[in-house]
Amino acid sequence: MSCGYVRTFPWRGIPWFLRELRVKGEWQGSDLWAPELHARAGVKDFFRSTEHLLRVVLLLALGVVAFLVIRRAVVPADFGKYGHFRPGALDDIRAHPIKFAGREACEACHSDQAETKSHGKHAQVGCEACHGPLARHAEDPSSVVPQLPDTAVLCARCHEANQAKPKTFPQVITAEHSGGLACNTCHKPHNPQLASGG
Amino acid sequence: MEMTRRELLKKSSKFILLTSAAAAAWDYVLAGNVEASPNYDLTKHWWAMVIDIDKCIGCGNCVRACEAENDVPSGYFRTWVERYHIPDWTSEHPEVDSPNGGHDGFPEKYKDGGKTFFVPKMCNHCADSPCVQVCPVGATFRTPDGVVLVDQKYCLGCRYCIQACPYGCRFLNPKTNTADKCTLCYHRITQGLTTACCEACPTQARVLADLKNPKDPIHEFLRTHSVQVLKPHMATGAKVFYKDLDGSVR
Repeated sequence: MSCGYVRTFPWRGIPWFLRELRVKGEWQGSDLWAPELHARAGVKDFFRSTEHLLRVVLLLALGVVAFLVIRRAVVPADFGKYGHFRPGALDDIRAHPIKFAGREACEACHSDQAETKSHGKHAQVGCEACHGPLARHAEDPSSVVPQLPDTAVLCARCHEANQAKPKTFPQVITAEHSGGLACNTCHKPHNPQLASGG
Repeated sequence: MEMTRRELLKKSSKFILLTSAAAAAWDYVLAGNVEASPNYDLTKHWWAMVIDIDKCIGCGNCVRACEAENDVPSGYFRTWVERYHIPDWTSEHPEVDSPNGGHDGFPEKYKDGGKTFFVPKMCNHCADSPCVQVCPVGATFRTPDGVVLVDQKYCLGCRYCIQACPYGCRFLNPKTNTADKCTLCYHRITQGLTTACCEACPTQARVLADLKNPKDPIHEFLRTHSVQVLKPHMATGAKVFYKDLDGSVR
């Protein structure tokens, strides 16, 4: 403790409760960390008045209570159940209605079409890939009746020749191939292989 | 503060036992909550997608199906298809186009040879996704079954996640003014259905996969094929696996 600070301003660098002892004349030494010195410092040396302390403690307690109350009001009770997010968000997203019924739902009723399709090249193609989203039809078959797709547009989407398509995929230039005839004049979409081998 | 070895061992073993007992008790408390759908267990799935480049014909069925299923506003895409064209003279600079996200198919454009192919794109549902890390309000999160979702009620629409996504998979929904993205048809897959894009894909170029299901054909597929993810150097833990992806694809 021989820095200039201590010499010019004797109180600097000394713990404030030791300063009290010094003012009272009970200690003149410079060894601030002597254990017997710390032992001599009682509660009254530490605190001139406990009122300030109580105020601080009360304020802190109030702050904690306010924090807990606000958190309870703002953060959902089950927040963090599955991770750092609101589990209710999962339910919100899952509440979205389904538009595509899925192949199993179609084939439950249309087993004849499924049977025809299973023997042809289109066996792997899902029903709604061509017929569009029909979950509402699956729920209420009598009142929601789907329209048959237009083969001229539908078939060309997949089978119109394009350099970017895989070479093994069957492609035609529709204008040259059919001369304007609708595809389903010759090909049956559920089993497109020509019956007469033409 | 003298402490014998015996005391240390006693205290630390007590600490370990008590904390683990408390954790087990807490788990028990959590397990007591009944799920909205009792048949779906979040912890039993780890969703992924396999995309076979060699099967994609660029018909745009997936884009239209996604739009119909998820009410995606027109001009925005949760999934889209890109056409890559690598001319014979350079492999460094492929030409990429995606007219209206592939929604209306791809009119023939290239006649000059070279390599041309389609690459369907979508959210990669990264295991360590940058979008989740940057969200300032925790609105974007990863579910325990490996799907990255957006909480529409928490999202502020600050667009940080849109900038953070290395794959460009997010957009600001003009109707809700919140971040929007592929949910991997979470409302479908939790009910045992496949995604809308997989349902509509006529060639099975896209297949939904569950990596935690030992019977899922994806395990065989990943073992027996050359499979890549997009931008592996970014260490996002992407879970959309592309078969035979050309090196030029970004």
